[in-house]
Amino acid sequence: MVSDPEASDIEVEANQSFEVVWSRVQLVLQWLIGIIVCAGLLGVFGDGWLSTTTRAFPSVPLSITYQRLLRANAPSDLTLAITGRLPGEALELSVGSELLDRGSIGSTQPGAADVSTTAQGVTYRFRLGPDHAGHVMLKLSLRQPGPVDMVLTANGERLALPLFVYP
Amino acid sequence: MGIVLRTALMYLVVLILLRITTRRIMRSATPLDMVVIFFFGGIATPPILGDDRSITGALLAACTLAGLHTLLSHLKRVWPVIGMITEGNPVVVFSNGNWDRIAMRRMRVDPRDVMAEMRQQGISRIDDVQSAIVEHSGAITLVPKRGH
Repeated sequence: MVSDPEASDIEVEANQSFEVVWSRVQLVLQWLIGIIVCAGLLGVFGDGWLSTTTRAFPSVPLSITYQRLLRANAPSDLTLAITGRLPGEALELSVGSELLDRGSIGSTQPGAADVSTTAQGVTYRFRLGPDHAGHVMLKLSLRQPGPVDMVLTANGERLALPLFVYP
Repeated sequence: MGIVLRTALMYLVVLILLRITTRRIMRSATPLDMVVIFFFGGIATPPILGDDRSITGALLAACTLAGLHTLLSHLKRVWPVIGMITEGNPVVVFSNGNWDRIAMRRMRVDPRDVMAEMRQQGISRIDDVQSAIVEHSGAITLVPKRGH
């Protein structure tokens, strides 16, 4: 309670006009908090229904599940699922420099058989098992907020994966 | 979504733990009570944020805490039983010259706590007190006898 300007030092009176305004501001802020929490539950800030998306390569039997909305300095998983039989004995996956300029890939699961780095990005080579199927997980950690046009190349085929990083 | 759910879970866990640990935590501020606050504060945070060091994550956790607190504050007005569960009821520990030992044991209040409150209110003798009540806020209310 802020005392009325008319009140003397030892008299404390409710400043009704301020209280009315503050009550309205408080109500608006409480609703805003409620909206932020609901948005968080839905995944607007990452790690939820709205942020998780799955994309597939046009001709390579690979689908990618990742967070298109994520937070800076927070770990995030990008999972590749091999949906059909891949030709060859290995999966070659390249991550473009657009992503690596803004963050890093901490590790892969399973570990890559070979990793090579160029100015265009980093290329991982995974050995395929006998059934030529399975999952590969990349641990992403982005540092800089803002939109990122991530590009993945699998066995020579490119796929754009736009995402947005919150601060 | 994970942060919101983890924050809600830890909020409820800490609320219930504080509720069953002590209700006098902010009123008495003794080392015995303060150590609980410090440790709960330290223990509750890592499971919520984990490796997440983003501003958005911290903001989301803070909003979840504020939202849950506001929601419970409103709900306890509608359903008093929520207030009884989260905050408790006033309990009479001294009345008409008799200590209620069972209530005192449940409240983990001893006569020294009541005596301390008496001294703060300028009451020197327990005989001058009609009743002592441990309020839901943890404060001890002393009702003086008539004529004192």
